Amino acid sequence: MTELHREKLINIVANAALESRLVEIAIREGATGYTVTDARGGGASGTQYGVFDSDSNIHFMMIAPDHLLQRMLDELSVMIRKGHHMVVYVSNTEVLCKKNQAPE
Amino acid sequence: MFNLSNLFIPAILFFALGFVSRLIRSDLKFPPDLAKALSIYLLVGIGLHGGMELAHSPINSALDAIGVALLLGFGLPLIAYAILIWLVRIDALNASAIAAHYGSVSAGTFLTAIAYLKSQGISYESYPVIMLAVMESPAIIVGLLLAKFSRRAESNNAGAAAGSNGEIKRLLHEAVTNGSVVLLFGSMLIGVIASPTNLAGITPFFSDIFMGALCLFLLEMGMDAARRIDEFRHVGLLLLGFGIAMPIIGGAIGVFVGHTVLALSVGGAALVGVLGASASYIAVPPAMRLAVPEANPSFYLTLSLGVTFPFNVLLGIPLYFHMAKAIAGV
Repeated sequence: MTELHREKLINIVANAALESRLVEIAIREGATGYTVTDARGGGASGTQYGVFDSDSNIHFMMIAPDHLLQRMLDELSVMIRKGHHMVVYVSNTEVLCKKNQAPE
Repeated sequence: MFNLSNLFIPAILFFALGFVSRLIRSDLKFPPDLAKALSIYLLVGIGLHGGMELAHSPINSALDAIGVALLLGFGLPLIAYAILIWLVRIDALNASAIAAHYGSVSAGTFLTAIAYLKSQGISYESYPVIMLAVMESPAIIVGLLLAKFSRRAESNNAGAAAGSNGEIKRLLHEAVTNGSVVLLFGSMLIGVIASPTNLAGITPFFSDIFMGALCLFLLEMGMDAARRIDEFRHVGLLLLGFGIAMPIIGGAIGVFVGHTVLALSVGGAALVGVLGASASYIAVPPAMRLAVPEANPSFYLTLSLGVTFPFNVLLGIPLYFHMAKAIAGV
């Protein structure tokens, strides 16, 4: 029977310039992977039209087990405290178990 | 003396078209990444042409130009910072980020100036192209350092702020290796090293359609400038005034230095003026996002794209050209 196991989905909307920093956090804190899509939108930093790198956003997603979540959020909080404009939202998700993957 | 029809060159007209299309709320939109692709093409084109010209220029003059470019690149942001802090009276971190933009350069403005000079039949030296490449980065470094000192002054905690040594080194590395700089210097090097016969194979791609590509790029720039108008009310009158005053100051300094120190022709001095007057909107904003996250991107993007770029394209370029003529006594 195929199983789903529960993990956390961390979503971040940030300026494209921050991608490399977010990737480092993902790798450092043990995310098994991450996905990035281009995004545009508007908020406190003004509308991001996605025309130049400076006003392009990314939607950065990573899936992490519960026990790694807090450290990732701590690192993201450090960035936000420094002044980086990011929106971070976390939701529960269930991920299809891969055959060889040992359950947490 | 000032003839409006001088502005009726395709490049400027396309800029105006883009601007008007937004004002009338047309749904005209560029596909994503087209502006970025055109940027790459234009930077390679300027670099190649510059390199090909520099291949037969005396090395001493090139070195002089580089020296002056460094002076302007490090000096102009300091002047901008001083004006922002003392006259405009904004906080130090926003001032650092904005100053970095005005010390750096805009290849788009530079190319429009070249189109303008060509339409007037004015010749120009190729040294300003080297200066363009050199002036991309120093202002980022200055902005970074100004921000670092401002943070340290505000909190007495030396290591607590976003200025840990590792991060600073990384930001400095990114400042000098950013894509625009690599493209410009790299293409210039290729223009110098490769033989004219080999270059003849690729020059049609970078010459014949070059001005057309610039027109498309400026079409998008016009649309983008018009979009920024909505942000004007957040920026405030004083800062908007700075967006017009600073290019004039930078332009005057550039023209003066180009004529007096580098002994360039009217065309060459005008181009140095344009370099001094322009504000970056491609390389510096992402750098400031990382280096000075506390600064409000809406300020520097609106000023650079919404005020200074349109001002330079429509009024500034002819102005700096007339300044260059005046100082040469022509």
